[in-house]
Amino acid sequence: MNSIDHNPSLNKLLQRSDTWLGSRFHSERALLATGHRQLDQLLSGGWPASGLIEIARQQCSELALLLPVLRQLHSQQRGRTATVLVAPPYRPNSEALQQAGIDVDSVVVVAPRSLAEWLWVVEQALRHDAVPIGWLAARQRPSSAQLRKLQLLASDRQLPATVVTNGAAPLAHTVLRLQLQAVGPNAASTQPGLSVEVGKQRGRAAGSRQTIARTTLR
Amino acid sequence: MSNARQSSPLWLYIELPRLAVEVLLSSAQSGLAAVAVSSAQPPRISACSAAAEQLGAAVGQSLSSALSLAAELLSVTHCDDRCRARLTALAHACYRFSPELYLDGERGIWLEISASRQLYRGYPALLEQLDAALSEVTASADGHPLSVRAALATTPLAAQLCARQQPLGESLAVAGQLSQRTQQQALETLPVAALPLPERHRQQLAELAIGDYGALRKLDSRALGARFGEPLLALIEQLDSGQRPPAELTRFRPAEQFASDWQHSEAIISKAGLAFPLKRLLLELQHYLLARQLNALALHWQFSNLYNEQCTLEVRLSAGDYRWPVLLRLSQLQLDSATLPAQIDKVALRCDQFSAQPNGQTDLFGDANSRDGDRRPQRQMLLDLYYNRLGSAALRYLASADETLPEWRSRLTPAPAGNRLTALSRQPRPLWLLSPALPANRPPRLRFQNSPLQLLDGTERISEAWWRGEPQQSPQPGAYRDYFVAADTLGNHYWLYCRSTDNRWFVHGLFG
Repeated sequence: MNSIDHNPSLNKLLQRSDTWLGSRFHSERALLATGHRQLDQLLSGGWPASGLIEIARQQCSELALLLPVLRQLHSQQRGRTATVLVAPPYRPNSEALQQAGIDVDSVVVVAPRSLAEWLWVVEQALRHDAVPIGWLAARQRPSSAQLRKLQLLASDRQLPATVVTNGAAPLAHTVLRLQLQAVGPNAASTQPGLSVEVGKQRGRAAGSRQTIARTTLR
Repeated sequence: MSNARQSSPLWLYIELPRLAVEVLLSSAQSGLAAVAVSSAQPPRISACSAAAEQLGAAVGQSLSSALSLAAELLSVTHCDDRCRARLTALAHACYRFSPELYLDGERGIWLEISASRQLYRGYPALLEQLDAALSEVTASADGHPLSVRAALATTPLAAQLCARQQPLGESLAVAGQLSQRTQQQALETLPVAALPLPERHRQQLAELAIGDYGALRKLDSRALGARFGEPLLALIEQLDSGQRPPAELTRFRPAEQFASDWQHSEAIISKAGLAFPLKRLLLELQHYLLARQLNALALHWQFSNLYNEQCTLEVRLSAGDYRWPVLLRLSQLQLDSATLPAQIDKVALRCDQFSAQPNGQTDLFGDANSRDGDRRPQRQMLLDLYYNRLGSAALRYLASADETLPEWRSRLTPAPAGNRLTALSRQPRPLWLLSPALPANRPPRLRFQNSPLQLLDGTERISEAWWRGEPQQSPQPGAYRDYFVAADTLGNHYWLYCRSTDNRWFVHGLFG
């Protein structure tokens, strides 16, 4: 028993969902297996089960990376969860999603006309227990307050909210930021891969990196 | 004995004697001694406010007589449609408490409630909920409910005549009339003047010192028949045991479609001002839907003014709902982005698309007004929010079907079409499809967007659906596409095809 346990004010503060102790954080937070051994190692166990996540990418590998997580969330919720793809860059192929074990009836695609609508769509998805994956256009830049609101909501609803950006500048208030980079055959490997670098992870140092074989993402 | 008492009929009569005035004017205006005037010649008063009564105006009086008593009387033309619409809304609210319901012209409602006693676990609970449902529908914009009086009796005529002896109030207030003894007492003390008899019979009874119905019933029936004729005996029979409202009335049935409107003498000039009429109309719709055990799938709103400017909105629901808070929230989403006329004199609501309420969706005991999302599937609510805020073009569902061409095998549809694929392809399919497919340089210099590509897998031949005609619009019979997987130097994988008809290459999909 340490001095914190005796302090009612501190205890009250620590009970808030947006306050955590660095030493306890890792053991307490819920994680979702990523479906890739190297990625699980990189993220110290798995994908955060709640909070705002940024994936900065140059190509379009992010959805393939998220499919095992979506499948898990869907089976945990017994089909009650919807996945909302907000402003995806291309048309999702329902047959490929089915091949990956995703129930296409649970996926909807929303095309907001502005950043305000984009934020509203993501917020409503979280409020209605759906999992949002939103793509931000290059010129779209939510404010810190807007991102903070989404982060608090995602934490409160115990759901991951993924924002895919082009990686120009990191978003604020994320629990995890991953930078994806395609890697061609080189001296280290004869196979092309996807480099995943942790730009930010709550409670851990950033900068670690893993490369996943592209064949596992198809 | 107990069972026999449970099954004995119990009639409730609800009278709204000032309805004709109250549907037309606000309570402030009614305070100006308002009277409603019928279209008869000479014009006669069909209803009047309390203030008008105090000045000497009375129902049945000619308008000229009333004006001679009080020149400051405010007269308004009787509006049959408005009275009937409001009474119909009340009937919808009552219908779920008993389907044995009759409208008494434009003045009142008969309701036989004994069959619903068990369902509501006794009359007190039934009457309490009925009262609550009625107050929702009768409330006016300024918070004043309609003037109402009611009575319980074992026969419809007794209930009607006893109700007319009750003071006017803002609620039913019939809980004290539940015992048979009280009902019998109320019937016996009915003044002879209140009985629907010819005037000369009333005078004759008064001369005989027969002041109320109790005294009349003590007389010998044969003697009464001999002196007053068959009509009096028929009246006594109706009051004591007649179980049917007037023969010309038919049992009320909710209409096949819901249509109602809200009009007010003071125009609405802001969207915030629409909150009350929207809620009122949606409450009416909720009672209608409960009466028919249906959910609404689409609402049609019309906002208009006297200058023929109007705005219409259509609210859609993916799986239907009946609760006004849900319907109001979806309606307000559309209203937020709508451009309305500068002033609104009339709000109309129509609903003609329904789905059956699933068993157990509704709760007789009071959750109809619970806030949205309590029991409604979250996913349905979310989709309805998206549809009504962003419009139909912004929301797409994934669908798959047994087609040969990839773009028809996997589609985005405006309405849920579901998965109709009987078998998945054995070949890996790209997560993203390009729509339309983008041209690529053909081999041996295979390039896409200036990036050289190297073929990895192939060939998978997919026939163009030339036999289907529209909408596939295949160029010619026998056409096909040869699909390949290719990679660029960074390892990004593409799905390409070569079209047999012109040997042109296209990138059709992107792998993860």
